[in-house]
Amino acid sequence: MSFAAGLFYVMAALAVVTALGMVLNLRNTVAGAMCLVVTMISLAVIYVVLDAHFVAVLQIMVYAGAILVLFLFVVMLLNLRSDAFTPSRATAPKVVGAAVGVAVLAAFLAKLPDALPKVAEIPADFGSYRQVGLALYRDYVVPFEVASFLLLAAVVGAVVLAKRRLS
Amino acid sequence: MVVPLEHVIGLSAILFTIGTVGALTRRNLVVILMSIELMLNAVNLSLVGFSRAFGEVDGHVFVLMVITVAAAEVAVGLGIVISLFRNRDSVNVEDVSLLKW
Amino acid sequence: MVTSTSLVNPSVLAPFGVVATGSLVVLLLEVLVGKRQSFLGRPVTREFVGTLLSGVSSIFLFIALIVAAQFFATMPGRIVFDPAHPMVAMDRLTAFATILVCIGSIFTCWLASTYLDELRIHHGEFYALLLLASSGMVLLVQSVDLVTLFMGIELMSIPIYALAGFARRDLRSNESALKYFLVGSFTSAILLYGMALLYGATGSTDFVQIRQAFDASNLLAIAGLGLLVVGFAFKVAAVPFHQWAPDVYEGAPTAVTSYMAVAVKVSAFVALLRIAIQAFGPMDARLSDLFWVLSAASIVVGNVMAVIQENVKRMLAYSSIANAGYILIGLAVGTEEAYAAVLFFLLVYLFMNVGAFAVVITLATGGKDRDRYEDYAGLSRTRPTLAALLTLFVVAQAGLPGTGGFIAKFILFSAALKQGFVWLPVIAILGSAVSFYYYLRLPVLMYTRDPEGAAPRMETSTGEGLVLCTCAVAVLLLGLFPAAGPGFLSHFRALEWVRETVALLG
Repeated sequence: MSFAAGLFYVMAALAVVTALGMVLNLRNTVAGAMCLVVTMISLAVIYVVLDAHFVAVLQIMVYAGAILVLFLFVVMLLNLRSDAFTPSRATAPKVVGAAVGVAVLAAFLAKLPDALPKVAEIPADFGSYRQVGLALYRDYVVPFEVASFLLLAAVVGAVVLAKRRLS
Repeated sequence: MVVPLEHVIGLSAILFTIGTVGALTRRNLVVILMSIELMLNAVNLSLVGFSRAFGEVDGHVFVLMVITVAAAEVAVGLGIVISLFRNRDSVNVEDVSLLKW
Repeated sequence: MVTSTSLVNPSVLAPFGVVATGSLVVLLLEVLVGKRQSFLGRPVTREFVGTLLSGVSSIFLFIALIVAAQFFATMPGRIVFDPAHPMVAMDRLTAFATILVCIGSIFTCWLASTYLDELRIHHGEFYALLLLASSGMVLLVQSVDLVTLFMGIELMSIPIYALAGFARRDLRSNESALKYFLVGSFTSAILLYGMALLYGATGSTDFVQIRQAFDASNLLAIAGLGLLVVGFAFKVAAVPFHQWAPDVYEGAPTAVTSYMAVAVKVSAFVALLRIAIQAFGPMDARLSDLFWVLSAASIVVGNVMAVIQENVKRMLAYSSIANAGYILIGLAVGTEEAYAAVLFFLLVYLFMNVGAFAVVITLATGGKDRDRYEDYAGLSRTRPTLAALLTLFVVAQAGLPGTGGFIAKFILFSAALKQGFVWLPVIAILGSAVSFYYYLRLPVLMYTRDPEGAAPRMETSTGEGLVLCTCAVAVLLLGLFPAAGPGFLSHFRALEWVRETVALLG
């Protein structure tokens, strides 16, 4: 096994463990957020292994950087350190739901190898800024411009909801 | 490709399932939001994996869009959590009267 | 019938551009006017700013409507943005849906002006968010690529999350926004996973290429298609993915509720129609079965649950679930005639639903909705015109002959019968029979009981009056003259328009 493949499996295991940690951690929201940070960073490493260099950088900057910081900020602002855990209320449906999820997942994984496309050879600059940038500004210019309106909508929406007093 | 594609897509499916189960079973709003973020991350992993398999960067561009949308959603979502918190000191789903599903 | 040149066609984005620019103008105008003492010789009050912005927004929407109508009248086939990577297209379906979205948004602007004053939440951001959401809908109905489809859905949804929570001091509005947001972003993730799997199965995000490469025996393709349909079922609130709708509709400000019930539903259904035709047509049997189940479940659950509601907004929410069920019949049938019937249904649905919500909005007073059934007792004495209009709108929704609702259901059910679908029309007719009970409860209350409780608002604003009149006239016109009528009504040929719209698809 090559170094890159080894890295993939280590990071995959780390991502799954921390994702489970985030979902199963019932007491501390901050710890859950920290677990998610680790999930995202390990995914960024996996992106590098998969030759998606540009996406890997975005993953660190936007996800692990901006979005998770926003989460932590709100958790601290609202002082949500402890999450009142209510074990008595309806645990059975949750277990059933999780079991159904695992069953569907197992069925999907069992049939997966036959359904996948063949892996193509790639050019040396695959996933580089240049290549993604060209695709972004040439083929995908419409969704790219729409994204700017989307961010505007998010800014206006967040201000309307969270600002203490409006005009 | 250094690892088989089914391992990448399989990992993505596992993370998506964890996120889905978390979003449906947890009661803390911030944790539900984080679970949804995990689902989006799983989708991104699929897109990157398929993109690598096809040797096209369409998937990478799609991931860029997903990340933008995720940031926008989180901003509005946390805005909603804050406005709710102003009127009622709780972010547990069960304390929200409309949210009995 | 695809006509395209090798050059990029920016004109395809004209309606989207107009609406999106409108949102920027509204945002700037609010800042510029809000700071001044007087503007155009009028003292600047909050009401004045609101009315001004409402007017400006509706002008932009109206321009987009005219542009779309122009496309509709002259469109030979389909033009795409860039033939190599289509992304967005302009054809009759896009133009038709854009017109519906613009009408729905204009109605919302007119209704919101007075209503937001009554609720004391009249901020200019409302109109900016409304226009942004509308631009998302316009993009959604013209998407021919999964990436633009996703961006359209999000640009539509994100402003509406904020609009649902626009009454910031009202806990019900906060909770409505929260629930809509949680369901919406969960749905987006599901939808997105479906898109990713389809990309993996077909190697493309373009609808036409997806159809060419689609292999119904491939696990990824089937799972992707299934998740995509589930995502849309959430968006249009089809059973069993509907639980969020009544709570969200009840808690949101009513002007926003009517926008969600109408504009969101119309654009989501048109997008689904386009996906069904262009990315997976001719109708796959499994997809048809899926629509069949969703449709039957929505009709049964929507109608039965509507009966036991005590709140008019909740009742209208369940009735809109039932209406989604009727529309899904057309998708399950999957013939050209059925698609035309779907578009006609959406056209009628727009007017009769906005009309009903407009009455609820016109009655709102003292910062409160009058949305319980008792609030309507004896309304024929206090507000006779409103009582008569509300009767018309609910009777149309029930599907009484002479109204657009009847024609819409009739052509939809007959298209289904013609294709050998027997059970769906039977279920739908039984559901409509049940719906008579909860719809006619309102006229009975209004005409046979004495007024009780606080008096309703006694004056109707110009905007509200315009919306009510337009809706009433449209519902009657579509009912009496669905094809060409006598005299000047001969220009009004709704049935022909919807047939022309679907004839060029595929």
